[in-house]
Amino acid sequence: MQPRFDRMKRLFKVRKSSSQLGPLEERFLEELWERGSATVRELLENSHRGLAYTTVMTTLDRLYKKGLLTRDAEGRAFRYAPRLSRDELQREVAGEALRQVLNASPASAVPLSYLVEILTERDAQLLDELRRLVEEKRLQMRSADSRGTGPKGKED
Amino acid sequence: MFALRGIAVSFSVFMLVYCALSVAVCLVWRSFWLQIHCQPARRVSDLLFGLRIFPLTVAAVTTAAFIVPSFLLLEPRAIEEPIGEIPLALGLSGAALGIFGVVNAGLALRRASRAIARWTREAQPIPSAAPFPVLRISRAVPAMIAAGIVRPRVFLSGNAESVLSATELRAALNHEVAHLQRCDNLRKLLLRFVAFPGMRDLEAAWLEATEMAADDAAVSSAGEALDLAAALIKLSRRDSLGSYTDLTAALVHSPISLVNARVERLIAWNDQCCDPGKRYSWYGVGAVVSAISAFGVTYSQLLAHVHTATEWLVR
Repeated sequence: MQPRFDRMKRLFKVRKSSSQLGPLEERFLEELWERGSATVRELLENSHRGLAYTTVMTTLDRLYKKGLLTRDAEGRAFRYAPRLSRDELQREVAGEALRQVLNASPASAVPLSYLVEILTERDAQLLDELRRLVEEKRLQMRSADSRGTGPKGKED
Repeated sequence: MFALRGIAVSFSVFMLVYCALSVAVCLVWRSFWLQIHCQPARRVSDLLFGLRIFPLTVAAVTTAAFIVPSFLLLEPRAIEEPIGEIPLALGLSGAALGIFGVVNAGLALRRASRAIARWTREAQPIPSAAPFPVLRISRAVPAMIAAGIVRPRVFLSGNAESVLSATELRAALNHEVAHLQRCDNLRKLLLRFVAFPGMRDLEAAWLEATEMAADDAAVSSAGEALDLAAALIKLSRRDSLGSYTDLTAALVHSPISLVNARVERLIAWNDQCCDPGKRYSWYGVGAVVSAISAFGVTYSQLLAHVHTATEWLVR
């Protein structure tokens, strides 16, 4: 779960300060994406036993007020569900980040050139990673061949 | 008036069938792709292409085999019947669609011809065992590209030639040759004829499958697969991934996620890929023969029904 939280943290750093998420909010949002929907009681019973009822309720209420959750009355409580899927939220966050980048400078070409630079750098990193994988596989094949157990191609 | 009415009815039916089937294909192709995407890339590519041109094929066959004969054989020539507004509008739309397709394909062909002529002017032939001419160009981009429909050839930049090892170069050339052998550029031209809104994703999926099919055809061992993967990586760094020319098949092109998917696939390559093409071919032949026989037996009745339907359309 931890890497996912890290990813969420990175994701939400670019959101406006008013809608930034705390660690607990991130955890509940993640859990609601997993479960589809839940009440405060269900969250407490399943995975947040150490937390007070009011803490969970307040946190979900905050997420609802930030527009990230929807809620329907269920008896005397509310059932909460994510308003957006993970992909939709990522798209919204990415769009917001891009808008911020483009609005950051009066000369629109400057942030765009940064964006191109970042993309180029990212592509180069991806190609480096792929080259490393190819080299690794070559080494594996060579060592397997030297042991006589290598994967045999049609030409073998 | 008789001929005009016949043309209007034919175009109307063509338009109705073509548009209805195209919309249906736009709606269902993702589900279809989910069913077939685990199959060998070559088959996926063929099936997606078949699905893409399915509306054109069915509309053309319906019009040529049923609408035109039923009109010519069963429509009384002496009666002066006016053409209704709906068939007239549909007929004109069908004609416009046809003209748009021809213009679209013509423009793509002209762009491709100009690019090929530009490359050919400065190209030097390279001795190669490939079944198509291989020409070296001095410019860096495109690094390697299969071009041409009538006279297919492979262009290779001197830059790419110096970067790739002999085995990588051979694997990359095999990839381009596979594109030419499968007539992928001709298929791209055909898609220009049948442009339809909403088909872009299906065409992108087909394009991805053709690249993977050419990868599969280019390699016959895990070592060759790694050579091709290494060539892809090296040329991706040099060729700008956006350098796409109409009706050609470049070794590397955008998006980089496609290069990523291809390289990962090549790293995991094994020779377990069977060729299930023949397994189902007899079923296909059987189905076609049965359909033709059924139509042959009931053809005259079918023509009568078709004529009744077109009469309703004209009114």
